[in-house]
This record gives sequence, C-alpha cells and structure tokens, in this order.
Amino acid sequence: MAILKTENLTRRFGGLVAVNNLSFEIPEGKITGLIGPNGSGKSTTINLISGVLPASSGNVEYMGKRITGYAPHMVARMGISRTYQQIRLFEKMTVLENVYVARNLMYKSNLADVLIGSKRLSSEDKANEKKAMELLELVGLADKADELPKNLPYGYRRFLEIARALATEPKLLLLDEPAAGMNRDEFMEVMDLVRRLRAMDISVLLVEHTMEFVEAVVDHVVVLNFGQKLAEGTFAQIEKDPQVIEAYLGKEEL
Amino acid sequence: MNRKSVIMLVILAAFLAIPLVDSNQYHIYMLDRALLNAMIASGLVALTGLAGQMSLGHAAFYGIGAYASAIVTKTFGVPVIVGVISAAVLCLVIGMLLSIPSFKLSGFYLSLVTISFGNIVWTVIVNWYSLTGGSLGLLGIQPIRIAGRAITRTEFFYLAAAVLALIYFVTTRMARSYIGRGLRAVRDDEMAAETAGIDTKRLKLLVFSLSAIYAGIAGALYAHLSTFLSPESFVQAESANFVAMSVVGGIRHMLGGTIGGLAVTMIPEMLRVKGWEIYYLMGSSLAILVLVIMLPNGLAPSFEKFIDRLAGIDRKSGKRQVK
Repeated sequence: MAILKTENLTRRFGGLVAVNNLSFEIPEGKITGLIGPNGSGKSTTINLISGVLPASSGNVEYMGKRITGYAPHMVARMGISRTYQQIRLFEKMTVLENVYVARNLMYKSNLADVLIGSKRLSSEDKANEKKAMELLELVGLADKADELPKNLPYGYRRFLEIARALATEPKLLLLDEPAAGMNRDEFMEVMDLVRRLRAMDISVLLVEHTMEFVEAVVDHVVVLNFGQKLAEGTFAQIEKDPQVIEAYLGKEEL
Repeated sequence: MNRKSVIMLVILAAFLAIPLVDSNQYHIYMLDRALLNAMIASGLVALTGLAGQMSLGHAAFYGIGAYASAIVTKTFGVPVIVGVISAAVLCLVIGMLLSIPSFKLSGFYLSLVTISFGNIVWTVIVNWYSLTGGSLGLLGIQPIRIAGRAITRTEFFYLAAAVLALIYFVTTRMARSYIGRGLRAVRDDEMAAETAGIDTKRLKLLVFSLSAIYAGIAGALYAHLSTFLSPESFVQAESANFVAMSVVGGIRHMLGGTIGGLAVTMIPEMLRVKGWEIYYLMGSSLAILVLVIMLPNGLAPSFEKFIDRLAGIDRKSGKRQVK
C-alpha cells in the first residue's frame, strides 16, 4: 500500500524544469530513499509534497486523497511533516517551545478559552507540553529544554527540528538531508533515530547524500536525475544499475 | 502575594493617584492622552513584538475609530458606548482587510503598504467634507456623560486606565497561550511555522484586527475626550510616533506599550520649560534617540529588572518574562 503517490508531478522555474513528470510511490510503514545528484530535484519534490511550493502540473495523492494545492499547514494537519535542508528553527523561542508550538494543531480551545483561562485550555496545555517533553527525550534534548536553539551544537539543532516535525504526529515524515554536516557520533544517532521512526509506524521519505546512511536504513530507493525518475528498487538493485552509476560518476570513456 | 506584586501594586497606586494630587487640568488631559497612546502602542507590541508584522499606518485606525464614533453618535444621537463599539467593529473589519497584504509581504514592503493605507485614510478624512468636516474639523462631538453631566478629565483618566487594563489583560492572556506561541513562531520563521501545522494567515488576521481594535477604541475615546476632531491628529507622523512608543517601551515586553505610551507622551510635556518652549520637540526627540540607543530592548525590561532588584529576586531563577 502506498501512503503517498505523485502523478506526473512537474515544477518549472522559468525555463528550468526542476521536477519533470515525476510519478512515484511511498510505501506505507517503510523508509523510502530519494537520491540523485545535486540539482536533480529532490528538495523541490519535498517542497511540492509539503505544499511549500505549488506544482506547475501533476498531482500529489495522500492516502487516496488529492492534496495538490493544499496550504502547507493543511498538509501538516493531514499527517505529513517535514524538516529542511537548511535547518529552520524558531530562534527566539526555547528548545521546548520549538516543539510545543508544533502541537498547536491539536488544540480544541478557542479564543474564549484563552481569555477566560478555561479548564479545557489548561488541560490541553498540560498534555501538549508533556508530549513535547517526551519528544525532546526521544531525540535526547530533554536537558536542554529551556535553552535557546542557538546554544545547541549543530547536530542537536537537527534533532530538534526532527522532534518538532514529530510533534504534529505525522504518518509520513519527509527528511531533507538529516545527516548533512553531522559528525560521526551524531550521524550514528540520527541513523538510529530514523530506524526507530519505522518502528513507530511512521513512513519516511529520506533525501540523503551519504550512501552509507541510505544503504543502512532504506527499504526502497527512488533515483532522480534532471527532475525525472531514473531508477527505482532496493538499494542493492539500484547500486548496480548502469544508468545510476552513469548519473553519479559520469559515462565511462571507452 | 509576593514582594514583586506588592511593589508593582504600589507603583500602580502611585500612578493612579496623580490626578488626585495634581489638579492642573492640562497635565491631566495629557495623562488621558498618554493612556490612549498606550492602548495603541500595546497593539503594536502584539503586532510587531509578538508576531513580527510591521505597521506604519496605525494612526489610520486611530482616525477611523475617532471619526466613526463621533459621526455615529452625532448622526444617530446614540450613547457614546454605542459609538465606541461601532468604532471597534469597523476597525476589526478594516484590520482584517489590511492583514491580507501581510499574507504575501513582510518587512519593508509591508511597511510601505501600511504607510499607503495611512495616507489613503488621511486623504479620505480631509476630502470627505460632508462626513468629516474636512480640514475644518468636526465640532460638537458629545462628551462621555455620567449622571447627566459631562465626565471630568480626572474621571476620564480612570476610565481610560480601566480600558488599558482590559487591553493589557487580553494581550497578556493571548501572548502566554498557544496563540502567543504560534505568533512568535510566525515572527521567527513563517515557512517553518506553516509546515509545523500553524495557520499563519489566520494568526496574522487575528493580530492585525486586534491591534486595529485597540487603536480604534483609543480613537473613539479620544473623540469624546476632546469633542473636536481635526485630520492633523491622524497624519503619518503619528503612526511613526506610535511605533516609537512601542519600541521605546519595549517591543518584546508585555508592559512595553503601556510604559512606552506614557513615556513618549509625557517626556515632551516635561521638557516644556518656561523660556525654552521652542526647543521642547527637539529635546524630546533627542531623549527618544538616547533611550533607543541606551536601551535597545526598551524601558519595560529595565523597569522589570529594577523591580526585581527591589523585590530581591534573582533574575536567573526568577520567573521568565514572555520573550
């Protein structure tokens, strides 16, 4: 079963076709790798799925429902969450608040509850703050809850972004190069975290450059080149695919 | 009750006692005006400090509120409270409309839109002669009445203080709730807020209309305080002045609007020294300049620090303010 499906998804930037007629599926409960050389359209694909960029044409279907053209917050509410290649945190909010605020979509309290300080609001606050704290524990940041994100080492900033992405309780998580710029220890930790996500029944689309990472965690790989799907299969299959080797290393001169 | 609250209450009581001690009617009138300005600056603290949206056009809401309440009460002979409510509703609607450009624009571009908005409203006030009296002004606006007589300036002071307290309460409740967290997320990174499931347009709509309502209520009260309106009170420079109040007071502090509104209104008045009157505006502008340079976070955080010291609270372990 596919949790998400794209159909002829296309995005043009002026004359450049960043994503070209892309059709692929993300199987449910699995980790799907999305790989390809620089500029092959991986990040654009994530931007199109999460609603950050509108598609020029084509469709995104999530759990059998067309979500093309949805605002990003609606996409998030439906259960798709994401991280960014360039980490985007709420820099003037504490580590805890960064995750806590991503629970806003869970609130049933309205403005009146806020103004009178209702019981419903305080119980929702309590539950959501607790959940945010649990997520910080999951990524190992519980002891940094009251710090500002700028005081965190680079790798931890990424963990915080992943915790925030998990706070919306996604069924599908889009990770855009989660290991970029990490040292060896952090790299091992993030790999472990991605594996744990699968155990939590979260489907993952993983954009990653480090083949070691991809090989170790993915169930299925989609290879992009010039915005088009070049190959698809298990890591072992695509690793031997001559077209994939050519895209990455260039054609062998005979 | 802890020592900090006691000290705050003493300061509040001392402030509220000023009109009882000082019988100079002009001083009390300026205090009334300062409280009205504090309402507008409090709205800008929510709009800019919390949500990161700029407005250099809030004199327009002040003007719309003032003329709306004046015209409604003059035309229909309804009580002032009806005029104030219609001013608030009108500003709510126009504030919602003004939030639409903020869906696409931010920073300088949004500032330009709000400046243009202010200029358009001002031009309408000056030129819609039959409705507003144009540059000649609008005369004979009914004052607020209690027991059949017009309210005194001292009574107005307490009324305005109560309205400001209500505004403070609403703003603080909102800022400390999940809505406030959402607004701060919008301020820090709008795209990340959206993809974290936050409806950023809805929050901008909320905060723009809230700040518009505050300014509209202040305008309506002003109309019935002065009983005379002239377009000069709502020129572009006033919008900039409201921003100066929120910044001098502390744009990121819940008391910033109140302290800034009071300070920036009263400082020029205190500088009207006999024989030096022609220099008072220069002096007050210089004072604002120095304050902004010396205290970039505004007066309110320093004020709170001072109170904490009086109360013997260690800043590090003390309760944190809303950042």
